[in-house]
Amino acid sequence: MPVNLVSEEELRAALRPYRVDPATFEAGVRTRLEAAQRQRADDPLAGRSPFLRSAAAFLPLALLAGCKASPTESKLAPAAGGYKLLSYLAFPAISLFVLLGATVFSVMQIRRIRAGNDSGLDDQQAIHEVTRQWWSQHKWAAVGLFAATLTLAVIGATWLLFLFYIMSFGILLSVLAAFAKLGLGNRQVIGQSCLMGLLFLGQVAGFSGIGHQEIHFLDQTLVAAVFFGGVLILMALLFSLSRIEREQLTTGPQWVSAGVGAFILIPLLLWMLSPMLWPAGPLQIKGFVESFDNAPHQEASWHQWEIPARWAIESKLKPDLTLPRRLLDKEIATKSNTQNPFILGIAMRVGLLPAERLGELRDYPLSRKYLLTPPPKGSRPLPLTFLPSADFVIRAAVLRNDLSAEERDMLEQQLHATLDDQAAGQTLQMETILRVTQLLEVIDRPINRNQYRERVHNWLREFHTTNSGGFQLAGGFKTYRNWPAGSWLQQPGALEPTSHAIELMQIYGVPEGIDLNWVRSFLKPTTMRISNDKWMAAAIRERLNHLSDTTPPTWLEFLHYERSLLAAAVLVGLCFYATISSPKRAAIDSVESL
Amino acid sequence: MDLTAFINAYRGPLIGLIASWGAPWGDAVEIAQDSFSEAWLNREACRGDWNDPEVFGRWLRGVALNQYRNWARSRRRRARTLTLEPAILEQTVSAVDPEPDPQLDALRQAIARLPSKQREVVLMHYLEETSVKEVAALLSVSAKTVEGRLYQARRHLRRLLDGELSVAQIGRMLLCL
Repeated sequence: MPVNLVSEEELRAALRPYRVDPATFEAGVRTRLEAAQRQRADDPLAGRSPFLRSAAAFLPLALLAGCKASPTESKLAPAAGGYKLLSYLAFPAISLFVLLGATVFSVMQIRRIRAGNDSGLDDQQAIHEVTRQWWSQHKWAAVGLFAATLTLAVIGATWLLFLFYIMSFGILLSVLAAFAKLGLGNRQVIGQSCLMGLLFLGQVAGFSGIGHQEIHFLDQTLVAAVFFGGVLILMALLFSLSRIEREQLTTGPQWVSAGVGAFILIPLLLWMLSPMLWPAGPLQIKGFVESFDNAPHQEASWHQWEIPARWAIESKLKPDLTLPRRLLDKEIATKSNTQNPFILGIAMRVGLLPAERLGELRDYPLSRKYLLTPPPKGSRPLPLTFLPSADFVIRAAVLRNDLSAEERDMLEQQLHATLDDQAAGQTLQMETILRVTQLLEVIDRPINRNQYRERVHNWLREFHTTNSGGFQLAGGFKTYRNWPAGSWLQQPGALEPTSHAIELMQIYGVPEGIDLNWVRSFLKPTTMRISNDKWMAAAIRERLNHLSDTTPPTWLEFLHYERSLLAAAVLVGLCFYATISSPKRAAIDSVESL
Repeated sequence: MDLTAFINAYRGPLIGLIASWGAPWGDAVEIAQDSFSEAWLNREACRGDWNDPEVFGRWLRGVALNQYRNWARSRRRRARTLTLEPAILEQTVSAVDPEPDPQLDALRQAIARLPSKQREVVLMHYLEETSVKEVAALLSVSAKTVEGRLYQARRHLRRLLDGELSVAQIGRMLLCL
């Protein structure tokens, strides 16, 4: 069946009356073009939105255009109401990202031009003058802004700070995009401005100890690294741009300044990214355990080694303990009167001392005698006054099968008395609770976990702290029950008690009321922890991650707690977008020449 | 491409496109002139090579849409009681006062009743007999798509003129039952 269509002739005939005269139409377009060009020359923002005009009142247009100051600014009509409020919101980003960069770079440019006897000095001086005037006009607002930025960073409100800047920068970006369409602004100026803003924020983020008081799973030094990384990329972009625009090899001083910048920033970035570039995984922990051949701080060094060593052995990593054994041999062969009971206790717990070598422990017979002397008849069992010494003696006695059933009963009573005695006082430590629990297991008189669980959970809650300070993050466990009276600093958490607390949680379970995300945050890999602390934290973290009845943080939690880092990345992304989307100088010139 | 060549290439389809959005013919011409002026003045802000017809066609359509929205806003402000939709060509018929031909009048009214995508290609292509290629560039679709829409529009128009009901109309009537 043939398809019936309306003929094309009929359609043309129906629309013919609406055709326009081409010459008249073109004349109308040209008239409009001339009027628009006249208006643009007179006032670039004529006919633009009230918001754009209001924002322009804050922005020196001569600076964005990269040319001499125009009389346009004085003609900008102030907007009212909501538009004014929006433009006020753009003020922080203008101050931080535009004016800061303009101030520094215009001075640098003037010096360079003067040194090179180059043309364009008038323009640069005009830009510098505009910037200077802006600073003098908005001096107190800008000072307040910088103070607020520093304060927010120092008190830990980084999320609020970055959110504020993202909003502000978003508004500035829309203004800059609108200006770019008008031929105002160029990539060099916007890029330099963003660079200085990011540099300032990087310094604030890097040196104010941000995020120490909050839960974070990633080292917050990464926030500064993101800013400095952005600076480095922008530097490279601007450097290549300046070479292209001048169509000649970049001058010596520029090479030097770029080189110095890179020389400072690249090692800084490597250091900031070190927890990610050189992570402390199980194999690295095993390597640390095997390489222990020197204890410069005596028992302190041994304590720091014990935590990763015991974890490596319990995790069946089978570390080669030849070097630590040699070090222990030196300790045992010491010529001083007494062998260090702390080190012997650690050696016993880690399994460095086999039963056949226990005869080399000179203090063992006497210590055993003191320890196992029964109390006078009728008196209560006495608490053990020096638990580290008792620890090594009890373990050695068990290993040598040197304890009778009566002696084990007596020790059990003494250990319970120790716990009860310390629990009531101020000297209680996480380590005491753990050692008592472990020693009761060693003498085959295991503690009644159900009976003690509630008490241990209460102690764990009591010792957990969200205080930070003294180069320690928040979320760990305290060393002492109470900080000395009169101290202005709150007691922060420390690694060793946190390790003991996690081991107690392995035995007694995780108490309700302790958010393990705080503990994860305390133990996260960070640039602050160097040397042995790094390996201790890594081993404790591994132990925490393998606690039963716990779930790892969800992605949602991760995103929530790392929102500052995400915000920083968004801000850097906005800077890249603002720079790349800004027109090149050549494009502006062609528009101006219309 | 110079300004004259640029205007000659896109004048007809642009006026047709703006008219298809609902602007009376007189206003459509004004909006088209504003759009040409604005697009030419800011052509450097166009992303990509503005000498490429596809790139510039898309850019010009965007500028025209903004101009049309501004016009519609100001018109709404002036007379909130006016509506844009009904009988686009009916308004313009009386404004321009073409030669009175009942058959052509019926065709104009039928064009106004076409679905929007068919109406826009009819107005863009037949107003000044612009090539399918330019229409396609302005709409950011392929020439084949434009040809397909033109064919469907002509068939639809025949049905409307012959008083036949379209499938959609039959469907609507069945739903009412």
